[in-house]
Amino acid sequence: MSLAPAPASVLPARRERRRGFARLWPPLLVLVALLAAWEIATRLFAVSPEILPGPRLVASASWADRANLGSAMWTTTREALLGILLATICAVLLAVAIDWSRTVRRSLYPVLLASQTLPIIVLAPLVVIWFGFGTGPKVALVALFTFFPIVVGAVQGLAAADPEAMALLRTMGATRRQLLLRVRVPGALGHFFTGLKVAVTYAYVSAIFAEYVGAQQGLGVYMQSAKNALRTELVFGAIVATALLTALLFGGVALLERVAMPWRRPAAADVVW
Amino acid sequence: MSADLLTSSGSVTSGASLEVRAVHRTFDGESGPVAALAGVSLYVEPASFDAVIGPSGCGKSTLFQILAGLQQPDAGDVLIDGLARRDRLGICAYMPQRDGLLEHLRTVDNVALGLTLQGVGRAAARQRAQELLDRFGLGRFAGAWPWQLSGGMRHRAAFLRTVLLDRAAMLLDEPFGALDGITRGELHTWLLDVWEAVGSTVALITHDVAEAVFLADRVHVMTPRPGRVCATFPIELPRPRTPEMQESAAFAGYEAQLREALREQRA
Repeated sequence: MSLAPAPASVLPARRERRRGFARLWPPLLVLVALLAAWEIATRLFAVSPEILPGPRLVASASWADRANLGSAMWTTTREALLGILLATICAVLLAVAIDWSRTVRRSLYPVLLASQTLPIIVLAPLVVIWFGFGTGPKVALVALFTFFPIVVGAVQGLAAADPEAMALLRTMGATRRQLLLRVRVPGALGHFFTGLKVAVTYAYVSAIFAEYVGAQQGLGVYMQSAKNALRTELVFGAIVATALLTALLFGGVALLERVAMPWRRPAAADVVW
Repeated sequence: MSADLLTSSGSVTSGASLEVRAVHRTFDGESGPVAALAGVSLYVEPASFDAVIGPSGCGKSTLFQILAGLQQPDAGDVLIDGLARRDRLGICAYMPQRDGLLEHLRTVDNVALGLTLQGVGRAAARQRAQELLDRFGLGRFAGAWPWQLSGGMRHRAAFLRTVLLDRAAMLLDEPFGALDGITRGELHTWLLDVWEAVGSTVALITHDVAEAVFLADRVHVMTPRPGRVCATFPIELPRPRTPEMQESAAFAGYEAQLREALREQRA
């Protein structure tokens, strides 16, 4: 069966894309201006590159060391992605349990909220003591860091279901499971993705911190050895790489959100961006 | 008429009578119990279109939620098609004040929702929803997301979703309360067209006297809280009703009667 085309109120995709470009160039301009100012300042004041290397030096040195930097980026990316995946699976399961059972909601959820007073960073040495120096403890620490925003987003999303829609579906004879799958879960996606987007901004940072505490490879190790060799430009290179990877991960999640929620009004999606 | 459009499912026939007898309902308020309903009795004949009118807060919505099975009365009986039932969820179709469309479903899937919940296959349910949308002027919007529809369109879609359930009766809780006057007038005529095609029993809550007179066979007037039905007025305007009838002397007479009855309650 073919569906009728949507009414004309939908923005043509081309116009939307053009608006996207229009919004993209002002921040790009600011970024370029900042880089230029940085470069000029380091030359003008003849700052030692060991203290503050200029962006050109950072770029050329990082490019020259691309083999090492690239493999460090890959190692950390794997840890970050696996950690996010683990956190998402656990968080979704827990959120559904919290939503489904009053006992879980009343007993576990407050403990979970209170657990956030623990500085997770201090758990890093413990995680290394328990799980060693491999990939496992990094993944565990990323998951610990990113779990909380995801679970809170998912729980809030599930709780935000429109009571009137729920009543309506009950009069249609919907079972509890149908209510969950047909109303609450799709309705929770917006909150869930908001939580996930907050979470992924922690993913690389937490993976790098876990590497500081003890690792053989990764961006954290790369930064430390560059620092020990007084190769400040390579430290900067690793910082820029981390920022780019985090932005890429965030963009990936935002893209996933659009794909997962095709029913979103374009304007609303823009606000979330 | 309804046979080609809707196939009856379940044990209760479309166009069943609705009856409540001396129903009481009390809620726990912040400062002690609040009686919402105190001995409501109401009878809606099979395949009739009845309106329930009353001041806000008189318990109209509570009464409909009890009929729909979302709540149980503290005392009294609820009979559908002459049978007292405790588990009434899924027997009457219910349309809430806001349209209740699910934002993540296209219009056709929103209309088909009741069928898919009952386990009808997606393709078959969509096809029946599409037929209904085509027939009642919404076919073009079948693939639209709810946010792309105007307020009037949303209510039409919500009503067709109620119709497609093919239930014993339809309970409409102030379905047009949020719409502007012009859209509302268009929807009244449209609603009566659909109703005459499906021949179902309809009970409608409203606080608009003209709406009640224009749509209903009988108008039941409720008292302020705690609510009960204090008067029932048969509206003997011929069917099909046309917007011109609203200018007639008979129409004005019914309106005056109802206003008078509502005023007496307030005094």
